[in-house]
Amino acid sequence: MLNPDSKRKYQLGIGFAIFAFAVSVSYFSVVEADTEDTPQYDIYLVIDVSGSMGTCIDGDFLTTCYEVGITNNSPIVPAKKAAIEFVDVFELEQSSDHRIGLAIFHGDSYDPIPIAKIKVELDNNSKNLKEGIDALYPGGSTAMGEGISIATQSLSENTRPDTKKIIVLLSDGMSNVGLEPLMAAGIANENAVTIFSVGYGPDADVQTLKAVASMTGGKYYDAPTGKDLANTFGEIADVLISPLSHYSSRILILIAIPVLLFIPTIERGLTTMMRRTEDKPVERIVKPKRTEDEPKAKIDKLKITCRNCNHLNRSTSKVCAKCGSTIKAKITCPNCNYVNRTTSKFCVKCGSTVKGKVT
Amino acid sequence: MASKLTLAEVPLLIGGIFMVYLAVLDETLFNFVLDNVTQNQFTVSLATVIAATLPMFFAVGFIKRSVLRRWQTIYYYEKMLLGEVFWILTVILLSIITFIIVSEQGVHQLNAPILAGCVLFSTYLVIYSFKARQKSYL
Repeated sequence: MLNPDSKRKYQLGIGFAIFAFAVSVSYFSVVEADTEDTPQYDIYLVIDVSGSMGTCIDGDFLTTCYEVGITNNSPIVPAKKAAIEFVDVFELEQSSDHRIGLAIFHGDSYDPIPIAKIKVELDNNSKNLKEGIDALYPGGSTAMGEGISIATQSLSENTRPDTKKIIVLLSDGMSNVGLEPLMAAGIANENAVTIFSVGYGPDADVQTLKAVASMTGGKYYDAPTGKDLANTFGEIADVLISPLSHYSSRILILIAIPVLLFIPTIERGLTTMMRRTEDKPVERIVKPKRTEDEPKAKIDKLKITCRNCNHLNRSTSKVCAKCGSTIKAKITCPNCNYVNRTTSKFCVKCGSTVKGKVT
Repeated sequence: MASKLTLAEVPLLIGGIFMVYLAVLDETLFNFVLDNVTQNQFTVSLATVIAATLPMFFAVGFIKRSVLRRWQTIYYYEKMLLGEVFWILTVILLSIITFIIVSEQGVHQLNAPILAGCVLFSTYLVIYSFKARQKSYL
């Protein structure tokens, strides 16, 4: 037998072993969903092509920028590269399951007029798409809501059965013209469109982008630099093409926790069960039925007869319950006349039965 | 084997069931972990373990305190249940989940039922532990 302290440690050890087992099994049960299970997607790349995605050639973004151009350092350059790599991941020519389109949003350079366009319609022709991405040119303000709205509209109009509708939204700033992004996200959500939003650079409106993704059941990604942007687009493509299934792994953990915490109860229950199976079945002791005469005989045996009225009194009674005569007298043995105590059953001298024979 | 539930223990049972719900169905903690790391087999597994283990660990305690009082848990957990650490840790966990819901998901898309559950249950626990402390002083 273990002492209590060792037993506690032993139980804790078993608990941790169970937990470790559950964690390791859960690790291996996190699997990529089968390719056959991957749904077909209609995806719109909705890209912010506002002035801040380019480089100000004449003037300053902080005051007034008269001309926006593209240089090697312009934020739009890595954005184009990342978008093209994203398209490559889907191998559109080899599989007709997925379709990708391109939408852009910006604003008029001089007036607060939102501009959002479908540059390339949903198609599985990656060549057109890449050309469209390559031709992107920045300028104007940010009309994020309009971009979401136009992509949602196109996805809803060109819907296919059993197809998931996705928007991959890229923005580096705050929406300052046109429809509110959250309102547009609400419309997208009503049309079962999921938005994966990417905040690019330090000035991205993270809160709005997060809210937009959250409202539609998507996810927000942060990409502070151009390098991060390529990784982020790759990650989104991975999530869509080979989603990791983790629900089966969660079940194991959920079962393991109560089991490890209730180890003493489980142990006690198991011990009781094992004892029951080991022990032979106990034979029931059947008491013989009493005959009708038996109770009377018992009474006769235990009671003392009053010598005055013949009433049966208890063997411990000193006075007759009926006539009140004293019955504390000793019992005289009818065989040898030896005087015995009232509680005696047999004569102390000869061994004859004396119970109930009061003198 | 289950003990009879008294009125004072009903909130604990409801809290325990709420924590089980958090462990089984809620994705707040899971998404929070995955948002801050690159998604791969290890990180998904880690996020799953965290998201399932933490709420379930506390859920067992509250259900034990309410309806399964006769069921004995391991010594160290039993000891933890009797102390204030258990309540404090639960309130911390619920506060973290509340913070994640408010800050990460944005004020526009609140997971209202979970948020309400976290706030109500943690408030109840704070009041309950204060009352228990007052009683012990008296």
